[in-house]
Amino acid sequence: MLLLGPTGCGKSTLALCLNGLIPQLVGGEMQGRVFIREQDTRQTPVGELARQVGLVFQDPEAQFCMLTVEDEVAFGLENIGVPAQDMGARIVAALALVGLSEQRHTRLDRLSGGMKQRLALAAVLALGARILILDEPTSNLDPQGTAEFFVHLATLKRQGYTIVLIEHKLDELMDLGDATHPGQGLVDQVVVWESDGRIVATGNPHAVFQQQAGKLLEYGIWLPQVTELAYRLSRAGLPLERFPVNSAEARQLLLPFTTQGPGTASAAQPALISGRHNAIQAVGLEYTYPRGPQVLRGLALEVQRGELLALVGANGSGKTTLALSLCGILRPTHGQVLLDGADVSRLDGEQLAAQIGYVFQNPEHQFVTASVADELAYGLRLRHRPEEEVQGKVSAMLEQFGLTDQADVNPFKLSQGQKRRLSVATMLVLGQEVLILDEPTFGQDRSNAYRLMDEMRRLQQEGCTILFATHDMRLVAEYATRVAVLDEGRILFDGRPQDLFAQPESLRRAQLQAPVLYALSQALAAQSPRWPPLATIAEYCSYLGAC
Amino acid sequence: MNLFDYYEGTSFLHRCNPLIKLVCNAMILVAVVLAHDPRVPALLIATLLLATWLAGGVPLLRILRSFAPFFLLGAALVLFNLLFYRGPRAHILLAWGPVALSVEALRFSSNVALRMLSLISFALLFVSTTDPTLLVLSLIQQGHLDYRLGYSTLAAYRLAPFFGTEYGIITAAHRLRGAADAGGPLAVVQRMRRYALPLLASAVRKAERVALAMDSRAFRAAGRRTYYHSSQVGWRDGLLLLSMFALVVTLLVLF
Repeated sequence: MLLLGPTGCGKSTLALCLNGLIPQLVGGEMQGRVFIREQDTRQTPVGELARQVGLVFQDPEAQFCMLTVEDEVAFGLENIGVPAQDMGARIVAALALVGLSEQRHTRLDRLSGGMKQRLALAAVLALGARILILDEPTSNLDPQGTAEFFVHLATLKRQGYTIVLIEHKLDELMDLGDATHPGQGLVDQVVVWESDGRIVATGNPHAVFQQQAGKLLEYGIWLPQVTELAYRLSRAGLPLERFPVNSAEARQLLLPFTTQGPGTASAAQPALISGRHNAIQAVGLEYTYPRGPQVLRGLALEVQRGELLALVGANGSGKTTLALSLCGILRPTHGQVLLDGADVSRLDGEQLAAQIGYVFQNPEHQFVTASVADELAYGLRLRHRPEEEVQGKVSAMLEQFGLTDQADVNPFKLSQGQKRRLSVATMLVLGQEVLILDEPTFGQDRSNAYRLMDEMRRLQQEGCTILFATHDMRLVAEYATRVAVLDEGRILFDGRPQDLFAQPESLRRAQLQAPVLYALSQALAAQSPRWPPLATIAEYCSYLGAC
Repeated sequence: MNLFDYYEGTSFLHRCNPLIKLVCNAMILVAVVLAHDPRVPALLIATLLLATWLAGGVPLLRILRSFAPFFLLGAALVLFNLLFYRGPRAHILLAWGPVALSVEALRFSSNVALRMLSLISFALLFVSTTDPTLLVLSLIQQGHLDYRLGYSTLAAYRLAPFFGTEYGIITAAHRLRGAADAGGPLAVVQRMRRYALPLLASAVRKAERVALAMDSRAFRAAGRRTYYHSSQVGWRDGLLLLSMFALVVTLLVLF
């Protein structure tokens, strides 16, 4: 069963209700009852419930308390009083279920994020839980880690485990069941919430996505891209009998239309900007963390003025390190970064802040004052701008980023989407022309993510230079004018998104995948050679002359 | 990798009960307090460092590199005490103008430094040969520490490096706001206040998440708890205690 809903609709709270932590150990008021196999969660001891219901949380860094894999699995068994001589067998069995048998004695800090999430799964499986509740388990994982995690979930489901999954990555999820077991997806029930916690739709994926697609988009909930595509196409008059929920269905449904269209795609993507002034230039960049690994290995990158450049690559490929080096936070061990022709290492903090803005993954890191308005005014007041100008700019920024009503609120009390918008706004208030964002849409629901990216595009069209690191190939396809692929500290590919998608070798080496819609268009082209490569909904629409 | 940190291994010292090692620490403390002769802490330091190497399997180079900064600190301490020594000066070793170096001053100041260093040596031995998990287990099983406190400490220990990284990110983030360049003591205080909020916010959030994850695996709800590893006291611990006792007594009798 899949649970969907916009940020802050109470999905995580529900997860805690299902294993009795609410109301037994977590404070607050709960009305109504939850029954797990006819046992009331108010009365059944949490220890008893833990043998039946297992929770896996979002943050792989914050759900363990021991130092090795084996000890971590043993921890739960100790809690429920399993005799020591029985533990070994249960640990081995649980680790085998999630593919971690080899890592039994490994230290936790040496596991990848994906392995940690599978370990969290093993830790609850060892307790005997047959009901698994997973609260956005893959949101911190790269595409590779996510895919592996879902494969193990599919295996568990086939073995009869009940799985309740809160998840945003619908494309991977819906395609997976289809690939491993034709006709039987991983998801057979979908429940959708509105932001006030009311259920708006429930049923099998086809029923929910078919009937409620428009409503879900309106609530800001992610849909499988193929469903969204079909929705847009049918809204524009394409006679689709039903909406697909995975790529295979989409291929079948769209095949009849492949004879339509002009046969070649119009050049929807803007051409690469070239021959203009370099905004950022990095030469021979190397970086080695003190007493740590070498992350950048002789990397060279030029960013032209007015580009919207995407940085992609697996976890650990050096995206964040590169981004931090470009704005002078990290001093490269070798090489040089030129910002508008000036050596970054020679600029002081104030000069840097005036030229370049950097939005961290966690917006809270950047907040320095106690109200949203002060936060925006901070950089201006630091430069002793006249108070009138400060007030004017602040209210313009509040307006632009939809934060006017929150002007007096403490930044830490904003919602996730608002925090993100504020952190971007504070980075632009000085009129910086270069903006670097580290996974800007991480953990955001659909409407927040698109709102932010649209804002980035608008800034780019006004002449700003923008770099963003991301795992989301959909954003790359829809927004980036150029994409740079990082692999082991070097640039593996640098060019237009559609050229990257046409290079399966590079994608595979960097552990990336082409966007779902691009793969779909390739599958269509295999059966109908006239079909051109298309990567976004807008491209499909304009090709089919629909929207 | 931190040098003053646990060094994985299966040596004699690694297999001793951590609680027994703490008892040894107490004996060393007593010896250091009772001894007036600087040769006692000096010999203790040598023995402890040798033991870390030979009975603990920690590479000698690593030991020396961990110890070096403290050695320098000790040397500085000696110098400092020599300069400010105001006690009796019966035997002058060297005289140079108004500055005179007496045996008494040297003895006093080296004693202070050596005492400090002998405790550091033991800390080095303890930290590099004691698995933190085993320490907590022996504190719970032999030391009768409340298991909830024990495991929570372990969880907190796991998070420690995270706060180091987090602090680094926050300082960088604030510098990019053009905020952190001002000097002066007032600015430092203000800066610390600015860092504290985001650091606390993420600390509280992480801690809350870990607590929820532990509780959903029945941590606090445990009726009767069992232990996967049992922490035991064996012949090695007896041997360790005896030899440490013998060492301390010999040193105290001799000097």
